[in-house]
Order: sequence, then C-alpha cells, then structure tokens
Amino acid sequence: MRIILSFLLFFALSSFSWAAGDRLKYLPVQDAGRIKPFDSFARETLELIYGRSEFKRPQSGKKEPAYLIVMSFLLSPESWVDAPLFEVNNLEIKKYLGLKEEDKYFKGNDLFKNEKFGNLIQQLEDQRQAKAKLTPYFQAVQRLENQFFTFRELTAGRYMKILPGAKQEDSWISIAELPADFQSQFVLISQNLAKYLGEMGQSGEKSEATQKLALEFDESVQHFIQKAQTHSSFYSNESKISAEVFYNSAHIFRWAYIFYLLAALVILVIWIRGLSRGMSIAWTLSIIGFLIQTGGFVFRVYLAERPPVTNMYETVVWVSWGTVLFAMILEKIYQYKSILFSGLLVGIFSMVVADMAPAILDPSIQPLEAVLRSNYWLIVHVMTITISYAAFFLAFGLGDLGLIYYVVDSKKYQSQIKNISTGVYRAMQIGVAFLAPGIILGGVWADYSWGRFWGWDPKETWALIVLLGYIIVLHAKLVNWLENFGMLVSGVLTFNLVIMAWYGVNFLLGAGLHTYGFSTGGVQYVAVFTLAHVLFVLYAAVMKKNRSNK
Amino acid sequence: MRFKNKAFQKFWRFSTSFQLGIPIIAALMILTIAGTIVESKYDAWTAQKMIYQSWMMYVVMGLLIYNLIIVMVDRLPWKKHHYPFILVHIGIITLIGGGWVTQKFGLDGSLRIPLNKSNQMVSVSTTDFTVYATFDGEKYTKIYDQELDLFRREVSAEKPIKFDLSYAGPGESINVIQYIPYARASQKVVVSDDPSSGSSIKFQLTNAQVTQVETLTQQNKNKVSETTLGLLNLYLGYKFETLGRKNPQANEAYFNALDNEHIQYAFFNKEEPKPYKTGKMKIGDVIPTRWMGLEVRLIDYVPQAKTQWDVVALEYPNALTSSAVQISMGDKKEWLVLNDTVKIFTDKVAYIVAYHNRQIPLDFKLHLDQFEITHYQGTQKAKEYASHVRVIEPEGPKAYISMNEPLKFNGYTFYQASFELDEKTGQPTASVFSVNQDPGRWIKYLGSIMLSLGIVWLFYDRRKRRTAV
Repeated sequence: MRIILSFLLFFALSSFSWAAGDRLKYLPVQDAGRIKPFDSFARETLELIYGRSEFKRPQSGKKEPAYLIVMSFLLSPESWVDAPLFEVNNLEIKKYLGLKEEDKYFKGNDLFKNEKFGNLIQQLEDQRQAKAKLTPYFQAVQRLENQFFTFRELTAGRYMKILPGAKQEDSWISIAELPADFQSQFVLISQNLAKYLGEMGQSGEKSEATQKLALEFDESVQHFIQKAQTHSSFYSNESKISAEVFYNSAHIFRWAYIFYLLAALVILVIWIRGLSRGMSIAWTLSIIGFLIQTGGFVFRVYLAERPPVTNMYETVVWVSWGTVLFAMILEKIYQYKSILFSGLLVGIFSMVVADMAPAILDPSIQPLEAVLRSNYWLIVHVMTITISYAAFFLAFGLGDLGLIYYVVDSKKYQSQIKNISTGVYRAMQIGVAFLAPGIILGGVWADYSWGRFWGWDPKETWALIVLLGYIIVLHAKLVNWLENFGMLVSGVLTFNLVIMAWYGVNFLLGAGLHTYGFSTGGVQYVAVFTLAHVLFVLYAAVMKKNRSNK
Repeated sequence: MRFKNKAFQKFWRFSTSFQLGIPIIAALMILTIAGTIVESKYDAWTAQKMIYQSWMMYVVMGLLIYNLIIVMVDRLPWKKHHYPFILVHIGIITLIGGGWVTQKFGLDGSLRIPLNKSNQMVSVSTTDFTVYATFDGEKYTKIYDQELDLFRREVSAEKPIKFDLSYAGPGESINVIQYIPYARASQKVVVSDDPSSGSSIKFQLTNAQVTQVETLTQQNKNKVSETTLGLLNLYLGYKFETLGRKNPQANEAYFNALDNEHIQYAFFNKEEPKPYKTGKMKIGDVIPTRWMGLEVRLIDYVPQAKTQWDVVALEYPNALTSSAVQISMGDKKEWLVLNDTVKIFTDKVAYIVAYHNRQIPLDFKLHLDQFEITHYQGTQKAKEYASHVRVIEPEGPKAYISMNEPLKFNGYTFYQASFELDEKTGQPTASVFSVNQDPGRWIKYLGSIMLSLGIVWLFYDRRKRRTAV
C-alpha cells in the first residue's frame, strides 16, 4: 500500500514540473477553429511534418520538444529545409520522386525542389477537380502538400496567428501582419530563443548561463502575453491554456495503463503462485488506474467542451475505459479473476495503441462538423454504441484467454474454461443490451436532425451487422449449438465485425474499398491483428482436436 | 405445438428451429455487408437500387417476419418467462412494419429555395419522363408523364422504350434508346433547325495578363444571354437601341446577330450615354477595346444555335455525375441529362421532353428570408448554418430552421440539409431542406421501445437464472 502511495506522489510531482524556458508553451495561438497553447500547436504541426511530437536529432539521437523545434523553423528556415525533417511513408511517392525507399525522413530541398513535386500536386488537383474520392495514394500526396504549405506558410509568418482581431469571432493576426509594437516584441522573443538555444548547445542545458538566458526568453514571451492581454479583452482563458499544456505533458492515459499493467501482473503472480490472497492489491491498482483514466477523460471534456467520442483516438480511449468498467463489474459478481485480467489486458492494449500511433489515431482536439454539434445526442447515441464495443472487446479478450487454456491443457483447466465462457456470454449480452438501444437512439437522432429513421448509411448499417452477428451467437448458444469452445471462438471472431464497424467503415470504406491495398492509415496493422487471431483460433482448434483424438 | 400431419409437423419444426432462423439472420448480414461495399464503391442511391430495395432484401425480410411470428406461435400458450422474448420479437416486427409504412406512404424529398424566393415543389428520388406537345408554339399539352426507372431495365436502339405519337403522324414515336447511370455531361453548341432559336457566340478576351474564352448562347430569339468578367458586362441578344442600356453604371459590351456571317457589336464605358465603338465583326476578327488593353476576338458564331449535352459514361459515380438517357425521334438523337429538357421538332409539332426527379407540390409555399452561416473562428469550416423561412400562400408562421432544429408544419417536417454558395462572391444563394412526412414514425418508435425494453428484460431475467435457455 505504501509503495502505491509513494508512486502516486511521484506521479503527481513529476507532472507539475515547471521548467525554465518553457513559457513559450503557454502562448495562445488561434488554429483550426479554436484557441490553443503554442505547445499544442507546435506538437500538431510537428506531427504533420515529422510524424512525431518530438524531434530526434539524427546525429546525437537527442529528443527535443516540439515547441522549441517549431519556433526554430521561424528562426532559420534555410537550415531546416536542408535537414531530414519531412516524413514520407508512401512507397509510390518515394519511387515517383526518385527517393531512397528505405528512408523515412527527407530534406525539404529534395522533396519540394524536385521538379516532379509539381506534377504530384497537379495530379492531386485533377482528382479534386473531378471530385473523385481520394485513394490512399492521393491521401498521401495530400499530406505531402500539407507538409509543404504548412512549412512554407509557417516560415513566412502567415500560418501562426497570435493576436486577436477586433471581434471575438474574427481571424487572429498572424506574425507577418502584427502591428509594429507587437512585431518588435515578437522579434525579441526570437532573438532570445536564438541566444538561449545557442548557449544550450555550447554549455549544456543545466549551466548557469543557459538558465539565465532561459529566464530572459521566458520574460520576453510573458511580456508579449501581457501586452496582448491589455490589447484585447477576449485574448484567452489562461487557466484553460495552462490546463491544456499540463494535459499535453502529463500523459494521463499512460499512467492509467501503467497501473492496469501492474494490476495484471499482480493477478498473474497470484495465479502462478496459487495464492489465496492478494486480489485486494490487484483491485486497488485497477481502481487507481481506472480513476486516473476517468480523470483524464474528464480533463478532455473540459478542454474540448464536449464529450470526447468524436474521432478514432477518443473512442479508443472511451472503449478501453468501458472494457475495464465492465470487467470490474462482472469480476465483482463472478470473482473468476480471469474477467478482470482480460479486461485489464484489453485496456492496456488499446491505450498503448492510442498512445503510440498519433498519425493514425490523431489525439489533437478538433472542432466538430456542424451536424455533430449537439452534445445531448452525442452523449446518448455515440456513447451507448461505442460502450457496447467495449463489452464486445471484453468478450474478445476473454475468448483469447480461454483459447490459451485450450492450447495449454483443456482438461486440466476445465473449470477455468467454463468460467471464461460464461464471461464471454455475459459480456456479449451486455454488448447487445447497449448496442440495440444505441442503434435505435442513432435512428432517433437521424430522424430528428436529417428526417429519416434509417437510411442504410454504412456506419449505421455496420452497427446493425455487428448486432446481427452477436444475435446469431447468442441464439446459437441458447440452443446449445455453441458450447465452451464455440463461445470462446465466437468471442474472438465476431469481434472482427466490430473492428469493421468501428475502424473499417471510416478507414476502408471511406477511402474506397478497391484501393485499400496501398493504404497508409494503419490497415496493415489491423489486417495483421485480425489475421493473427484467425490463425490463433485455427491453432487452438487443431490442438483441441488432437487432444480429443488421443 | 404438435400437429397430426407428419409432413406438416416436420415443416413446422423446421420453421421454428434455428436451422431457419440463423441462416435468415446470416443472409441479412451478408446482404447488408454487400450493400455497404456497393455504397462505398458507387453511392447511396446505387446501394438502395441494387441491394436495399431489391427483391432479395424483400424475401429475406419476409422470411424474417415469418420466422419471428412462427416461433412465437409455437410457444403458445405463453408463460411468464416468455414475455420478454415475445416483446423483443413483436418489437422487431413492429419496427420493420413501421419502415414499410414509411416507404409506402411517406414522403422523403428535398426542397431547394433560392434566397428571397419561395418554392413549394418537393423533389423526390423517383424519376419521371414527361412529354409536352404544341402545334402553335404557345400552348403546350402534357401527353406523357410517367415513371421511368431504367436501373434494372435494358434499353438499346434495338430494344427501345417507345412513347407513341401516332396521332401526329403514322409510326411516329419518341424512343428511349440508351441509359447511362453515371454520366459526366458537358454542354456544346450545335446548329439548330428550329427557326425560333437564338444565336451563339464564342469569343476570347485577351490582354498582356489574361486570356479568357467565353460562350454566350441565347435560349431563344427573345432571350438575352449575359456574363460578367471583372468590371465588364457582356450581353448577347439585347436590343440596346430600343430598350436603352441595361446597366448604365457598368462597362458594357453588346452583341447582336446581324446576318449569317456577321454580328454587330457596341462598347459602352460606364456612365456614358453613347457607345465609344460600334461596328460589325465576323469569325476571326479582333477588335481592340478601351478596357485595360483588352481585345475581343470572335472565335465562333452560330446564327441559329442550341446547346446540346455531350455525355461521357463513367464506371463509378462522383459529385459531378448524374444519370442520362438518350432519346431518338426519326433520325434525330438527343441526350437528356436528369432534370433537364430538350426540344424536338417535326414539321407540324414541337415537343418538349423532360427526364426529371418527380416533383410533389406542397399545399403551401415556403419563402426563404435569410440564410446564416457561422464559421469556427479564423477558418472556413462551417460551425452552424440556419435559415429564416416563412410560410406563404396561404400566409403561415415564420420559423428558424437549423441543424438539429427542424420546422414541423402541416404534417411535414423541414430539416436544414445543405446550402449553395455563389462561386464568385462566396455568399449563400440558396438553402436546401429535406422534407419529410412519415406516417410510420410512431410505429417505428413503438417498435423501438418494445425492442429496447425487451432486450433489457431478457438480460435481467437470464441474469437471475444465471444460465441460458
């Protein structure tokens, strides 16, 4: 218990560190329809250009934060177009531009001064003119075009908007258009940054001289913010900006899955050692992790001013939350240990995925499409449907675990297998009990805002397909067509329908089914994931057959 | 339930068993999966036509309802533990029934209202073929108006769909000879044999900075065709000598057909009563103007012209395609793009032929007073858009329609669907509503409630008993 508490204390302290030289992170920027701290702006910009929110120096391997890197674009654009900064993943594009296929990062000079770059942009423009759906290849070209324009406009001072206009809804004023007094203040910021970075390069980060320059740099930023505050009454909500900077650096969800991992390890130890006690520790760790995740979720609600279930990243976090919740409820009732364990594994897996793949699962907070601007319906409809995915995900995790028992020894672990199979069944029931009303509520929303209850839209249709799939399984179980092994297999395989409804409709069907082979949207990972599970199910089936033949 | 007749008993067992139920649900799954793939490759309309409104879907739905009913009948007399299961099944049947009522008796269309104008015609997805005839060129009579759905029907020059016109001449008919579901259409100017046709000119405006090619075509002899290029207005077929200048505050150029080779031109500076230059020109002539060094070159001139569709068939639809049919009459052939009309002439009779979405009139008109768009700060991304409308003829209430905030009036519901912007100014020009009348709505909602309650009840019941069955 004491260990856990000191761990928490460490967690709290490490997140609140307030380093010198980072005042720039808090500079409000207007971007993509909202006011955000420069920290978020820089992270999102670097993710677009470089694919990550930190820059790794090619020689030293040292990681540098986005806010310093993006600001240094403005200081010396010439040196940055000659550095391997621009991420290109698409093989076809690399081939077309005559670049090394094994490389990942390229110099701006090699990309944009390439005479074929203009052809690429022209091809994209033709596609747009013809209003054709963009294939994954053209989506990749579009990203390249975005990288080019963003970098060019940023370094020209037109992209970054840091001073409010006359009215609240107006576009903010970009660096290039700043009035003279603000302009000179901004120049001072850049000069101080150059000095600070220069000194850091010479005498190191911790040296006294560097620290002094860091403070000067902070002061110049602070001065700009104060000046802007007196200039405009609606500059920004300071506490919200600070909250977002904290959210960016705290990695709240990372802490949540670390606790889940610890809890899962404790259960594993209990199993291996055959202990009769110790579940209370696993419970404590799980609940702490769950509370942290809940806190992170609430934090995001505060930042985005809406329920965060509107893109893939947000739903992955939400679904993993639901899975852990359902696992805890079912575990409380049945006390099999395996249910909590599976729930934790699913939670860890999905949160790690959400944490690791920002290019596919975009964690930035984006404004909503006009039709989605109804919080009430978002909560009621989207959250019920996606929470049903959480229950199915739990059934999936349980199915996997149960099949491992089959592979190891189905006779010895008969009671465990029976328990897990019951868990799969219960989880599926919970899922159906949420999904069916969720679909209907979706119909009610569609009826209310588009004027039709059901219109065979792919997203709603796939939700129905998922429902039909699980209804088949539940009915088959009802008449004993499926026994323990069948339930475990169904738990794993039927989840593919959820993957399709959840991920596939947006990433496969949306991009045009006939060209998904070239996609860069994570299709290969999902395909490997799916295929691996199909193979695993087959393997378990073979093992089961062999054993029963003996 | 048991029956004496052995064969019937067997059939009954089969009907109530999962050997029928599960394949039906599986078939429904496969059909809908196919539907989403079709929708992703083509569009929603094609998916509807090909899958969701196909006979396969109706058969599966029919079997599903049969199965749902018969398994309930089989459990007679019902006991208490059957109630949730009955509730779920009746709920599903009610939902499907409600959907059928909506499709059969409901209205689902769109209403487009230009800014400061009104409209009462709701356009639905059903397509009609309409033929009007006139002997004197003034009074038109409707002689055909019927549904034309060619999605699943083969037509060709050998196997046309004939619209008989034998009253006008022996063997005369309008034939539909080709159908393209995804046509990319562009207009071209051709010589017309109709004496009431107007003229068409194609010209180029050039100076050191810009080169612009434009075409002006009169719809008929008495109609003016006009365009605006920057600060210059250009007109074809406007008699400024008798009618006076159209807009004295603007720079204007007037063109009029003169004879088979020449057109007459007149250039006016703004706020000057007299043209600074007049004359006649033929194809190839270049006339300098006083506007920023612009020169006018006449590229083409057709004294008696009409526009015709040039149609290219595409494999897949996109935002620019629409369906098109080719019609023939005698040796004449014309393309007819959805929601457009063509004129066809014989010696005695003139026909107007239209291929269009069916228009259903409301018993009142809706007038668009104002349209608002708000954007997310500093972007072009629409945050909200809304219309201020008013019911007229007969006078009715004013209303504000926005996303998630429809207007309900006289049994119809009007939803904000989309809007149109002026290409040049970016200002809104029209608002589009989806219009809906749904007598099946309450049935669907009733079914929904039964289904949802039933599922929760089932779950709760089983949870108490802990085991399935």
